[in-house]
Amino acid sequence: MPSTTPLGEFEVLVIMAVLHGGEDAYGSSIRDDIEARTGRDVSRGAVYITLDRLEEKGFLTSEMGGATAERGGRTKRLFQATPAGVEAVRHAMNVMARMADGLEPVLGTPNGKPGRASR
Amino acid sequence: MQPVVWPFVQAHIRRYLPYQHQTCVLGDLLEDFGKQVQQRGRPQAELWLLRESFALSAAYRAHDTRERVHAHLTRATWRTRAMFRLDEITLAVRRLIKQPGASIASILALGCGLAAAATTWAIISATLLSPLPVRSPDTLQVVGLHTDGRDNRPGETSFAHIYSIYPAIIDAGVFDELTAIGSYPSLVREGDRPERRDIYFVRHNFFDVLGIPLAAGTGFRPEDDQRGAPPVAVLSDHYWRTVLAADPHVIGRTIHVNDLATTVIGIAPPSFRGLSLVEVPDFYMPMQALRAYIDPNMNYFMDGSSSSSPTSWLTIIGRVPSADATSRVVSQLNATPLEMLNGKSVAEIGGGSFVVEPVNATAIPSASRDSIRRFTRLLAATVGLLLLIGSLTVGMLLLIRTEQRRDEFAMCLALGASRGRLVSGVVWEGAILAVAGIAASVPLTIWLFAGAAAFELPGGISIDALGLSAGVGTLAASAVAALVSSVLIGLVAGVAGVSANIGDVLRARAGATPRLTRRRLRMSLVGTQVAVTLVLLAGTGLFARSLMSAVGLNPAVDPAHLIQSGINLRAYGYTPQQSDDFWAALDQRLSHNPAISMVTFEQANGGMSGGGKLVIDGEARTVPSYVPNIFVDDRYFPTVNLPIRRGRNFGSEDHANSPRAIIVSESMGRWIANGGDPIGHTVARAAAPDEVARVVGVVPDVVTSVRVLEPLAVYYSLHQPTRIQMITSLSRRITIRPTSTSTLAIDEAMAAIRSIDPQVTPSPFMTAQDRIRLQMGPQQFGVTVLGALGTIALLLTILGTYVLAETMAAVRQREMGIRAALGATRRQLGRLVLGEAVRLVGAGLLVGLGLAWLGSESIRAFLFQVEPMDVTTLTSVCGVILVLALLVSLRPAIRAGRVELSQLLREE
Repeated sequence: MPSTTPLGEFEVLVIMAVLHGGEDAYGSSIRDDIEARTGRDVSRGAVYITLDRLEEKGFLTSEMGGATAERGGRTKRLFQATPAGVEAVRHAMNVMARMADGLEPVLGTPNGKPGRASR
Repeated sequence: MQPVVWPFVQAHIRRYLPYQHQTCVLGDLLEDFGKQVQQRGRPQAELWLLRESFALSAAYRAHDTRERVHAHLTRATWRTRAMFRLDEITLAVRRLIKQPGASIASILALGCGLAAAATTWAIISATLLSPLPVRSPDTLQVVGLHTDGRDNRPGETSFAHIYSIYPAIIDAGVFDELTAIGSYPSLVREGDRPERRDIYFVRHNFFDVLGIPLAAGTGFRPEDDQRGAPPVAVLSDHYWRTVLAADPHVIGRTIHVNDLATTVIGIAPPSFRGLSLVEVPDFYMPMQALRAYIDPNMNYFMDGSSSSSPTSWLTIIGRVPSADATSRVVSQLNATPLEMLNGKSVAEIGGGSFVVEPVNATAIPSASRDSIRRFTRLLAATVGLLLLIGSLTVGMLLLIRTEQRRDEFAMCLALGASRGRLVSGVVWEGAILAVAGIAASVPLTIWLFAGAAAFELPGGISIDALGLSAGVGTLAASAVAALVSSVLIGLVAGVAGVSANIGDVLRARAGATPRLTRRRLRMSLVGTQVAVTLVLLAGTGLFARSLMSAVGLNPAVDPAHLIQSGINLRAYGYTPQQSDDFWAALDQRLSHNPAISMVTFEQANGGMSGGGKLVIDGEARTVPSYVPNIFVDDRYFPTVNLPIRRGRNFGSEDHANSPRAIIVSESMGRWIANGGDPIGHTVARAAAPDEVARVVGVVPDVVTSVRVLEPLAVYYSLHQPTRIQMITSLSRRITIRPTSTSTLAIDEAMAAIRSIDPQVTPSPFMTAQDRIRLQMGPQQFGVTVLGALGTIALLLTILGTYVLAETMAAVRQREMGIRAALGATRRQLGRLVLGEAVRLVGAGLLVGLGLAWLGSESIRAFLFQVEPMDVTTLTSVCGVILVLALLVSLRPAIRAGRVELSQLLREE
């Protein structure tokens, strides 16, 4: 049964990266995706440990596949987000949106227009 | 393009990462290494790979450390909590030990309540819920025949049939399975002497249809249940254990039934004691074997030389497909033409209709079912009251504890302790008391089960024969109930305790009047205890008075010194001539025995049922109730000590050729003469109006059944033989008046019988008083159970009253001092304390009287010549409770009178 504990920020990023990866989301691709989209360095260990934890919580599932010559014939661990994982991400985003609601003058709008405080 | 550092990376990853992920991670690293080579060149890529593997292992090591720390902290938290709990439990135990008297009283009260609850439940279960251990009892139905009423009299249902009904119902084919059973007592030789044993003669499929697997051996085979088959028997567990000492090699052993060698082929399971709770068989034999044992003049099977069966003796049991199908099966049976009815159905010949009743329901005789239900309800109510007493005692103890600790609670709360923690301490005390009560209930339950076995339930159901056993489920349910209720009581007491606040405590210390709320709560607890005690003791008193009334019946007869027994020589193959010789020899030996002052013989066979007709002075009159015909000799009335009220005793003038004379009981005399003098009136049976007998004497009524207090009886002379007497001359009752002790006279009488014929075994010798007492089984049970419970309740109530009076006197010490300083005398101060106790107990008694009035109808059915609201009993019980309460309040009252304000102030 999926956990009911709320997701941390990095966990949200990992599930989103898995969703972006579609059917070919695995450790390296997930890490690359997060780094590319957030512009910050991400530890490989943090990614693997978070993937394990999310699988334990029931937000992700994994299966083996995709062995290639570049990998020395080693299989990939391919991840898929479960409905509970998708719902958890949706919930986290809603929480963020509700918290940001009314703070547009300070934080700016989602399309990048700066708010009052940053001027 | 394998990296140079690859062996090192592999070793590193395999050392620190979980085994199942190593391959995938190595694949990821190798894939990314390829990209790094393209972007940065090989040397940089090799360094990158080393850094990645180091970072990766470091992350996993850190993760492992966090996990271990987390697990360690969790364990530590649990350990700490457990230690806290242990401390709380230890403290609770210490607090309880500090008040040993009250703690022991609570534990005993709870233990008694639980033991009584377990016993009561076992009795209810064994009598009303599941009396028979048969398979699917709902589908097992006993077949009855309901006859239509005639002459404005209601119809009757009989579950005993003549044999030929059984094959007729088999042929009807409406039941899935059918079996039959009939009981017949026989003489079984055990050692040197034969004993009369109850035998169930059953169809070979009996145990299979009932779904009862034998404990040992095989069941009956069809060939065992055929005419001329070698006799075999299945023993009851009770017979096997008590008579054959649980012989492990009993299968194949030979026993002698009516002098016929019979082979034991099995043992019934201990849980199965026959189909009736009243009649417990000793063993079972195939039905056709009955042919070998019965009197040749009796044709139980209606297929021999005799044209009719002597009695209805057979119980027929059928299994229906399902409980829902029962009514359909009965309709089919009533509509099916039966061969024995010349191809007509029962309904067609107007003989009534077949009915069925579940086998469990018929286990109790229909006449006793209501009594059993009422009695078990009464028992359950009593046990409920005892459990209430137990709970009240626990409540009292905890309330006293919390009241004493109010200062401590208030201080703790003021210093920041949580209310939950304080309440949990009190709850633990309740739980510990409950656990101790449960432990105490185990030996008490065993003792109660053994003790209850000596009593009978209404309808003559022996509790011993029920084979009660306290199932684990019953004990567990009682234990859980006690635990939950004690914890709840503890919770209430705890909440009451922590409701104290620091302001209250400081005010109390300053000498202000304490709030009365909690004292009122305790007063109401003691009041309830008084009320419950009154109900229990009043019940005991009423049952005891009923017993005394019953035992005190026939005072002129001196029933404690009148011994009676019966002998039926028919079972020993005696002819009428041989039996005459036997009676003469026995008469001669008993008359000359110094231990026996008087002896007489009677034949109490035959009579006229209520509703039948007797011809009085030539006019046929309907008899209101059963009139037995008792044939007695001329020594009968002096031996029984019945004076001749009017007329004369039988004498030499009453011989075979003289006009027939009878002596009647006073009640019969009043009925014959419509209240006048019956001497000289004539009586004859409607069936033989010429056999006229004239009343020559009147004797007092002798009550032999507590249900018939005005017995109608007609005494005939043994020296004037009648047709009825000729038939029954093989059976007689012996009445003995001992010279000194009853025991010696019984031993001498037994020796005399054995010296004439060692084979003959009479029915148990018993005094007339014991015979009456036997009919009062439920009342004796009631006296014992209610008496024991009432005594416990009384002790607890008195203890509660004492504790309350003591604490109230202590709380009001300052007030008493001020009163004394203002001029109140010692007597006045003492009266204040006593008055409070009297008001409290008085209120409880009033509530108790109300409860007794509410329950009076449920106990009425078990009382004999005593009213449920008997003034003497209720007044006595109220007086005892009040006097004891006053006695225990004397000490606090005297102490209150001696208080001095100056001393109090110095102490403060």
